[in-house]
Amino acid sequence: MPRLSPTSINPRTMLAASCAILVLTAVLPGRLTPFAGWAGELIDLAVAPVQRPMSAGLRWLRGPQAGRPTDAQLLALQVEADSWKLRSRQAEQEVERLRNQIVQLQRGLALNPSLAVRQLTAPVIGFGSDASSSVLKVQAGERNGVIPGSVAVFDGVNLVGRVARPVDARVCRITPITDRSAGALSARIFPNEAPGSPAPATVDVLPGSGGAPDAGGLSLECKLTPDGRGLLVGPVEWQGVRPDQQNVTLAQGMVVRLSDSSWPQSAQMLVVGRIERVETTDVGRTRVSVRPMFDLQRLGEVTIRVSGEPDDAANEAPRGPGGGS
Amino acid sequence: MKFLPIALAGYLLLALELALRPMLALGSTGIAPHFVIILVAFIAMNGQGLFIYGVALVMGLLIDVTAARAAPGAGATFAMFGPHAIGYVAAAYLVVTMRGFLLRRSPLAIPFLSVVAAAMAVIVSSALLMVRSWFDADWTAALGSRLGAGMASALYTALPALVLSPLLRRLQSVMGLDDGGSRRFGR
Repeated sequence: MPRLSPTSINPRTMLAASCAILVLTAVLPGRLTPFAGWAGELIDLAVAPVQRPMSAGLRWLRGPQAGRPTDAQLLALQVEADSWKLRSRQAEQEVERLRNQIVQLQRGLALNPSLAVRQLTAPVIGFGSDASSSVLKVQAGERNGVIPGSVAVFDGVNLVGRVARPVDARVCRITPITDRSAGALSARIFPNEAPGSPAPATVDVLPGSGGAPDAGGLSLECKLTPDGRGLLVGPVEWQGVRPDQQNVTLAQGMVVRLSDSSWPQSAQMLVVGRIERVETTDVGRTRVSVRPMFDLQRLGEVTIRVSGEPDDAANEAPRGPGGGS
Repeated sequence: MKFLPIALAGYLLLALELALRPMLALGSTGIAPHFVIILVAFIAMNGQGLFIYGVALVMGLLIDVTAARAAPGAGATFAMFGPHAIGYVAAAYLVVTMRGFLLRRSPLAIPFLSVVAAAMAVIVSSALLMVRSWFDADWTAALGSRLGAGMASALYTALPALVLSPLLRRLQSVMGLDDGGSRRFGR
């Protein structure tokens, strides 16, 4: 019986066999090919030292993003102002949450304590090689305490997305909110935060409607779905706002903030973006298109907010511009 | 053909692809140039034998494993093993078939072949991804938009190929590739 030695393997046969195996693995479900992820982790590690300076160089060549001040002091002030706005909105929502908790306590329901948040700023070292996917690759991983589901923000308050599984030792991947696979999210439109808007006008909310708190003025609920072209699109919910106050006109530039119970408590009221377009559908519903404040594909670094770590409760205090939760 | 210089060139072009591709993308259309396919086209045009397909296969695999895709629900990402590898092998085969009809010293040869190779790779990988969508409930392939963006990306690849082509030609002897003078015909 002839023995099979390495030299007796025909390269042509080997190539054909490799191709056949790859055709098979190409159509197999992801859970059956975990080795692709491990191999990707190794390659990412190997390429990162070259990839990062290349990204940084091109970013430097392109200059700052539109709408972002170039002056460092002005930028710091803007970030700080946004950070205070966020805290104000979070406080409003916290009041609402506490009100609901009181109601629930009275009903004897168990409650979850609020979670501590630790912030970690990490550079975006690149993206996947598939342009149809907008997943961001960030140089921070398990070793830095990043866990799947952590929330990523930019400039402290602008929502970027969530950390996806698996988190490698030194690298993690973030699915931006604008990626099709990110799915829908609930948000609130704050008309009083439009550029050049007058002083906040309060709008009463029908009792028990779950609508906006009157403390911070009008806010309208909307369900936004990524359209795959960098926008989030969805209908506006007018239920809960008093009929005599439904004459608020939604306009371009109004700020939209996250208000979704499927996201961590610490992520609530983060800025999703600004309204770019307002439309009325055939059935008379109002639909808005929201664009994130910054192009999520051109971020140089992101801040990852890791929640659920009691040891880091002390880090909840603000750490300068963009810091704090 | 020398393995080390080719591996080094592949490494640098992969880093270029990962770092620059999203930044050179045209808005949110997903249209962005390819870099690695330029090297595959270059080696397919000047290389010999099965080595060409081996390089194409490896470079395609590298693209596959670095293409993290978000799973529905955004809770996880996953990589695929195969679509680009097979696409790149098919692209290399197409270049080998076509190279006999081209003036190999023309400055436009590599850009042209890069566009053709990228288009071929997109067609093959999209077809495989479509087949995958029949079996994998987690994977939904938007074939139309993917093909459209892929074809436009293939055209866009001509620009970096124009820049990289002279550089690769200078490195041709370092890579141990045939400079074309010893062969009268492509194959």
